[in-house]
Amino acid sequence: MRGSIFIETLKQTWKQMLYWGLGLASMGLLIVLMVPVFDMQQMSELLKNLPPIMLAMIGVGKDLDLFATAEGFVAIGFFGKFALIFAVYPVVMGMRITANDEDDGIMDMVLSLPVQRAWVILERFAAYTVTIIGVVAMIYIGMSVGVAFSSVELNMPALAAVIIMLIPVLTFVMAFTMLTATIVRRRQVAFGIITAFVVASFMIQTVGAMAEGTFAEPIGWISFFTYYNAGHILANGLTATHIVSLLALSLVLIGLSIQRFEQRNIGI
Amino acid sequence: MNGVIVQDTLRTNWKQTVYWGFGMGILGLYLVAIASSSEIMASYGPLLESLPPAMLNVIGISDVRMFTTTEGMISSGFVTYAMLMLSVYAVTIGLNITTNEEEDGILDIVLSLPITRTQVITEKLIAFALLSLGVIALCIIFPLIGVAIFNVEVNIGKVILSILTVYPGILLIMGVTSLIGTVARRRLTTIGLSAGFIMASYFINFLGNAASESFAATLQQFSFFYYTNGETVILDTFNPLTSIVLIIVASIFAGLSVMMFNRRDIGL
Repeated sequence: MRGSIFIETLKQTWKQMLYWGLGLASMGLLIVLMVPVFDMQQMSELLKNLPPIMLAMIGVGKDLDLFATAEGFVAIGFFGKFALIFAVYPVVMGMRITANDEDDGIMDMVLSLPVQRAWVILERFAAYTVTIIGVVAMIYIGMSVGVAFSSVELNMPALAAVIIMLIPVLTFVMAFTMLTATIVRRRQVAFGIITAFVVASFMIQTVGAMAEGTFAEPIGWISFFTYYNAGHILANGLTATHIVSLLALSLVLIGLSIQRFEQRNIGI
Repeated sequence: MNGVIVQDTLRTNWKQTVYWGFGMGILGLYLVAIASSSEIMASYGPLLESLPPAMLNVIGISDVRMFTTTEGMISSGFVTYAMLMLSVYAVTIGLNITTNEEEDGILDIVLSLPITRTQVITEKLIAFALLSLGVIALCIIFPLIGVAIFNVEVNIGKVILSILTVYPGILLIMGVTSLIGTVARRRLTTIGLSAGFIMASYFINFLGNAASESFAATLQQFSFFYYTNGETVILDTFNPLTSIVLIIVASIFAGLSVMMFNRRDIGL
């Protein structure tokens, strides 16, 4: 029956979603509660005099007014610095789509049921995407609770854009993980490759921002983290081309995963 | 025979060490290439020297020397992130102590051999400690190759020592993961709890940096990231005692995991 794998996957994953969501939401809550004691609060005027190279290093771009606000610091300090941490969740979930079952030798049992391989991948991917949305929603709720219980005034709609942008980025990471797992089969190898991909992307983006004007800057554009620039999103809102590009790339990766998974033998 | 598990573990896991060391080393080499750019150093130097210390703290630089010297640039751009990235490696090797074999249902076969449980876990811990030292060695070698290729003037001793400060952190995470694995048994639970430990430590360190005048700065001293970023080496405030304490704490976790492993049934 269509949708049964989707529902079963959600049943098996809702606890993990809750744990991850609560953990990250607690961080968001604490960040908001601690805004009044951040050093940043005394620095707004000074920041306005910073030259472009320094702004690039911080990840702010040229729109400094927003960075001098509480939500600016939360967005750039928290969402910018924790991008690598956020990427762990879609990697863990992406490994569950095929790699874990195949490595445990139970994928052949799953596929002995009257379900098509393509639907196994599609329904699992859809279910884990729902959990990503759940985790992201919990981060937003955590921060909103923090705002409600403190005297901090945060522009939550602006922060919501930064939080929402996590969804296409994390979905892309999960799709890449899934494709890697369907190609290499073995969990440890897939995990190694995806870790290298995420880590290299993060370093390329970080160094690219630090070394504005050198060869590292254009190289930085190949990193998917470049399209999760919290400062830029806060200043200019969501960029439709970034979202569409990431989602389109995810669709391509899903298509390739299905093609690869349908054409090969299953490890037992 | 004593040492046989060490040898076997080294033989079966050396490739993973080479991949990680190679990958991280290449990132270090990339950073040296960036740091070799006189334009970058010239643009950061006068700018940072003009900023007050509080401002530097806000943007994550505790001292101007972190960006005006080549070794400081390498440390702040590579070593700081290397600890976070190598945390993934440390969890991976921590899982290899007992959890992976137990989850795969082969640990009972291993323990049916004429070896004690203490010998199994202790020798594996020693072997993975040696392998992680190999990763650190490669992390040092590649940047040094970069120093030679790009003819960079740098205090090599400081670069080596700042990268070495990461090693106790890896041992600590490996010990924590091993202990969690022997208590929780299940792989996914162990990964989740270890990831939680790393994320909490990273978060505490972030809060301490962002709010240097609050209790967060005190709390920061409980985060292992505080002691493993190489910054103290560059600033000549490195205290070897902190690394020794980290290694002792890692040894305590390792000892506890031996104790827990000796006291319980093995999952089949």
